[in-house]
Amino acid sequence: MHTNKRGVGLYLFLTLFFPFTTLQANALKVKKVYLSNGLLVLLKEDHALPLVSLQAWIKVGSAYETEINNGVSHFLEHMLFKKTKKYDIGEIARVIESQGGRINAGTGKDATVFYINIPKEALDTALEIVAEVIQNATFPEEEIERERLVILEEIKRHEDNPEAILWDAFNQKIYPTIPYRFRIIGNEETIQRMSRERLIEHYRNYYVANNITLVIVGDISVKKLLPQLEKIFEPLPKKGPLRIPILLENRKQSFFVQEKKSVQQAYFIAGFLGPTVENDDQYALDLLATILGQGRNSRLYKKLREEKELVWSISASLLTQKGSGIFLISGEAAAEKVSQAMEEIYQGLLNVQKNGINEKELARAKILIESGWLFGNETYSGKAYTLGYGTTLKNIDYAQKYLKNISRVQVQDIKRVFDTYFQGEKPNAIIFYPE
Amino acid sequence: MAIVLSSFFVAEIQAGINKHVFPNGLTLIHKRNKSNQIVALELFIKTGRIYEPNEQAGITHLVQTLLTKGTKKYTASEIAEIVESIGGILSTGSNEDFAQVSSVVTVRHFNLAFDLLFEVITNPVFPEKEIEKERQVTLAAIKSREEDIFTVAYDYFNQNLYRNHPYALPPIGTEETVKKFTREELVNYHRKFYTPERMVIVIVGNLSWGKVKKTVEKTFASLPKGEELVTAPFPEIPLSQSIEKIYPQKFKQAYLMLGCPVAEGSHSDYAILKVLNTLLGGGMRGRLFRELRDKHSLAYEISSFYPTRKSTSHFVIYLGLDGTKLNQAKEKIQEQLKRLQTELVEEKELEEVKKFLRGNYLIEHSANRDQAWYLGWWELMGKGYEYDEEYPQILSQVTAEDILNIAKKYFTKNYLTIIIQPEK
Repeated sequence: MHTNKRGVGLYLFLTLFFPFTTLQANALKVKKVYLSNGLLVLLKEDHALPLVSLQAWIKVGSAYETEINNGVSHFLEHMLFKKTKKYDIGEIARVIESQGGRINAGTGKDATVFYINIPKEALDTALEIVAEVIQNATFPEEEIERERLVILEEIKRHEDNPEAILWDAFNQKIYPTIPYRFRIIGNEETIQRMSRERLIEHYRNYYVANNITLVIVGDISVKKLLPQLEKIFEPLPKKGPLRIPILLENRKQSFFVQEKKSVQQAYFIAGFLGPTVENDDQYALDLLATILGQGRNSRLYKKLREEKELVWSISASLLTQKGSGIFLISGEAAAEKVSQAMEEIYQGLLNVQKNGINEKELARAKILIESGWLFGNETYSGKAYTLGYGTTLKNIDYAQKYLKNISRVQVQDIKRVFDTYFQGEKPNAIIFYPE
Repeated sequence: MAIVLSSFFVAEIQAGINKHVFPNGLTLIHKRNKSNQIVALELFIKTGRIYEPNEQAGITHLVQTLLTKGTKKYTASEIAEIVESIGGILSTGSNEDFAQVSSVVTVRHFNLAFDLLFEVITNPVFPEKEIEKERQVTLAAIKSREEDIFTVAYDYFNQNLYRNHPYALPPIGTEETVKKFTREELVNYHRKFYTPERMVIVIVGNLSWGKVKKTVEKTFASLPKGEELVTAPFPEIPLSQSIEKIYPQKFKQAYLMLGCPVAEGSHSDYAILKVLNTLLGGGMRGRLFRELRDKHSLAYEISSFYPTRKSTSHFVIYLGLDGTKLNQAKEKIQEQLKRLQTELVEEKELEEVKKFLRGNYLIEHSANRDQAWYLGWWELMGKGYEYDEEYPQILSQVTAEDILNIAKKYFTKNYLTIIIQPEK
């Protein structure tokens, strides 16, 4: 394998890359329908397995909160499983799980998702439950008190996790003026004073037809389902106009924080502000993050973990959000090596700024992103997630066109785009050191 | 109707499984899946924590990590390059009972992926520099276990329950053992255990049985058989009395883990214990979630688990909670355990539990790599790949009486309770 290695390697990369895009062309094709109340429904029929994945994506999360009600979206998510007009406490979970399904939810900054994976026979029940959850939760006071205690416990669990609090701290500092600085889980004070009124107000404001995308992937019949959906979701009100928070961070920060924590190794995050989801710069930066820090042959992994042994782990990624994103490099290192690691990271960024990247790296990165997409979308729930999240963040085309946009990026684009976000200063960083 | 339905689910998934055992003892299992272009290759090796002497705890893990860090043909970097160039995944792992190398690629790259798999399994060279690097990374990972409250509690649980048994130590090893591994030890361990009669290869994807069998024939089937290895019988782990151990730690939460030894995976009690586990700790409908979280707000994280093991396993109930609520939690748990031993589960609840298990089965068999994993896993666990097919049916047969009897058999004896207390 040593003769002509470079040539063969490059050839391998270039020829093997292109077939992926054709494989992906149909993977995310959906039927897109707006119900009469404005609810967007995305449907994909696939009869390989007798399963259905059903997800309701609501355009609400901690980005839509203030320091008064921080944590309300997440608290709300907890409460919706409790009691609705039709279902008594604990019934929803019981009904879904006893039909062989799984139900859960997640709250993020820009979105909240409720999802059900279930054998196809139980689709009607699942639809009914989703409709109930997003419209008819009743918020009994007693249950709010109970759930308050549970969430306070969840906060403690969160705070016992060093990587979680490192991420919280980084967000707090890099977003001084916009709601992305809030923790999704809220804090003890805001959770203690979370009232029934606050929860209901948030529910009425955001759980409305024109703010929700319903995604259904699996063993369904689109023809039969459409009239059914119209009927089930018809009562869901629409509301407008919805409050759109300011999510563009204009105050560029410069911070370098080192804190002693109860940890065994040093944890670090370094990074700077990135583009919003509306900005096509994201594709070049996705690729750059892959080149710098995804996979064993990425630049930082090779240099810092393999060659110089400065870190135990390291990765780079672009966090793309509705508002300002973050280009970040994170990892773990021995306490005595972390400052040298940070210096190497800085040099790595300067190198890209000065010299850009090469064809081979770009081709490799495209393959990695493509294959990650392929494997991530193998299951119905994977497909539904990609479609739902992409639509909530931006629009339906976003997920469908993502790989095409990645494939279009050229070597010179990387350097050019990078200049917009990195001008040679040391990246912001927070490091947790062992005590 | 329910039974017909479950057979239908199973027929969908299990259509056309091929198995062949080669003369050198290598087992090959194959299933054709035409619905996508992804091929999953799972290679299981019958070696893991349970085959390691305690002074060599973690050797399987280190050997596994090093397989992709240099072979006769390729350096670590070249291996990564090949995998990345085909957009594939090549990963290694090990646990208490077995080791595993997984490769996931698209059909067009099957040959390349398979050749690489064969190369890393049969020809690792364990370069000194890579050994030292991975040793340090492993030592750091061992230290980092102390940061997660569940891991801390579970490590204490295993230490106290298993004592001299291999399961007492985690598969990653300990600082003492990992510090000392020499290259010679790693090479010898590999030579001893990575032999064809200890391997099960499972391939799921849009490839024909003929093609797959031929590919394996040309490679793995020509490996010489290894020496017959005699595994010493595992030490018994009776709990002669109930034990409670309290460990003060720097966490905000307290943690409670309560359990007892129970049957291994190949035992006839297995399926009943699985149903019981789901009854107590399955999803949000499990009794523990409903009682201790929904009703009494004692925890955010609460459940039970019963891992499938080759040797004696354990049934564990656990929760993360406020330190002031420990006694209340212990009481409630005892209530639940007592209930299992005195009250027959109602038909309705039992049916719901079974349906949940069958639904989960379906969901967990969605991806090719999941299907490949389960087929191989049952071979390693001693019940054969056919058990994966039979499992939903067996679950359906569990009765309320079975559950009552199993609860009486295992839960009336002694418990081990591990408590993590926040330091003042």
